[in-house]
Amino acid sequence: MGIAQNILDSGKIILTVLGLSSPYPNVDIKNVGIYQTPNIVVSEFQTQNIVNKSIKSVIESGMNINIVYSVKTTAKRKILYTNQIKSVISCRNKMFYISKKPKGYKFSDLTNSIVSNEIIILTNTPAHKNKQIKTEIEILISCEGYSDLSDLWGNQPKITLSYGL
Amino acid sequence: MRMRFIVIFIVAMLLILISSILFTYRAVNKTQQTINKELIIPLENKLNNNNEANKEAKKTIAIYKAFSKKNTVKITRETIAMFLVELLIMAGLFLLFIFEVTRPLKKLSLNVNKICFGEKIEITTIKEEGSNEVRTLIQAFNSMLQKLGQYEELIGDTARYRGWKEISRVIVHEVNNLISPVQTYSEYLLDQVDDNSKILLILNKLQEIKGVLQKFRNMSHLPEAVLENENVFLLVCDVVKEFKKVRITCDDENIVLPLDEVLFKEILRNLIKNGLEATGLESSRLEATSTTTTHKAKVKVQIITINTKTTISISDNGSGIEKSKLNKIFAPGYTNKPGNIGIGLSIVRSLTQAHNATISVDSEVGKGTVFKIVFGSQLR
Repeated sequence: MGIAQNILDSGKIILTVLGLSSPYPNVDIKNVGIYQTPNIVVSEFQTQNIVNKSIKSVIESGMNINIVYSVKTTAKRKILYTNQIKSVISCRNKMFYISKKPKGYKFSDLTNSIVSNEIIILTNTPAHKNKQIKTEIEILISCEGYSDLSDLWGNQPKITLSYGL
Repeated sequence: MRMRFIVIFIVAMLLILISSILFTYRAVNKTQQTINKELIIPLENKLNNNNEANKEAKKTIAIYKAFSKKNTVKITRETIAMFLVELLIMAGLFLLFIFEVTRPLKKLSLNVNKICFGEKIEITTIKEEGSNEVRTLIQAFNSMLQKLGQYEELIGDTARYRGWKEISRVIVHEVNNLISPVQTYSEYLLDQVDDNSKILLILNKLQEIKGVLQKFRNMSHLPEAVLENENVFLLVCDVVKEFKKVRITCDDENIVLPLDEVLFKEILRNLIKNGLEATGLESSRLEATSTTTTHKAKVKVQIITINTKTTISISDNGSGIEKSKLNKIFAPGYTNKPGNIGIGLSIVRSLTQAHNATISVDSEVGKGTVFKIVFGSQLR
């Protein structure tokens, strides 16, 4: 390993210990947007690195990982809509499966590929016209016996949207 | 200097912190890896998937391995936190020490920079504070300041006195040359004219001028002191005999000091004369005694020996001298008596120094004056 690499690694270690960095990779959230239909508001966004190497070893051991998108929509602190969209990632024969979908993924596809998501964040939109609305989408991870595995991510992925109808 | 110390210290602390973080992290990581390699992996390999208990064990092992990086960081942080507290305490103590040392040193260096050769030293002594070594340095500085002040006075006076000596020598020589022919012709005319009263007046005045010149000559041509062991009390008695109403007290009549008899008597004569003039008495003969006499003396000569120092004090209860003028009375040319040249005390001081002694004066207006000659203490 070159001296430059050593210095780089040492720098990362120092930043990690000081809390300025994480030993685990971050979950990336990109291309966040919303669109409205006559009755609902939908948020679309893309995520990457939901499943990293450390989470992979947990799934491979036979534990199913639950990924939950927790939605909370408020207007002036009054809750208008909440929902939790759950997907389960499991492993069979070294292939990874998302919820009950038949398609299996390799780990490299699962972690490197960008996953597009569309989530309803508000219903009954006519009732909320002229309101200034705020939606928070939190992505949570857990498994059987461990209610919170978010320490295995480098960040706490969260989307905050502010919009008016 | 202080900033440099602090910067060096901060850089050193940062380096220690960084290296501690790296070493601790690597040590913990190595431990984790060793546990993985020696325990976890062999255990995993032994576990049979068909067994429910083994499946649960595998899941637990997977969780352990997943969180191992986080645990490494957590353990490193906890270790470094303790170390950081100790480091901060050490840093605080070190900075305190630096300030303790540098603050008095900075004061010291500011005062040293104020010393300007050729100008009067106006600095007061520095308060002794800081560590023992710094206090020692400040003590030495304060002592040096005192001695510098004394040397400054001494050199100043010496320079002034030498100036006077030189001028006196020149004046005496030149004026002598001028008055000699005047005297010669005056003496010649004394025999030639009938009414010689005016010529006698000229000759008298010439004698007076010669008298003044002699005093200047005395100052410019002071003889070298030849010091021999002499009995102090006997010499003092010899001088006191020449005057009236002068009392002697002595705690040891057998004190012997290295003195030049003639010059020492000259010192005493001058001081006693001054004392008598201050009290309004003229000098005349009196028998000296070594015990308290029934005469009401107004001028007193006292001989005291304490440890190795012998002090001869000549005191009077005359009009006294103002405090503001005390430091000028030994300067050549200074006098408070009309018609006086003002070189007597200057000669006294030179003769005292020739005896390796010091002379000082204390006075109070209306109460009197005391001159003290101390043998056994010297300015080096």
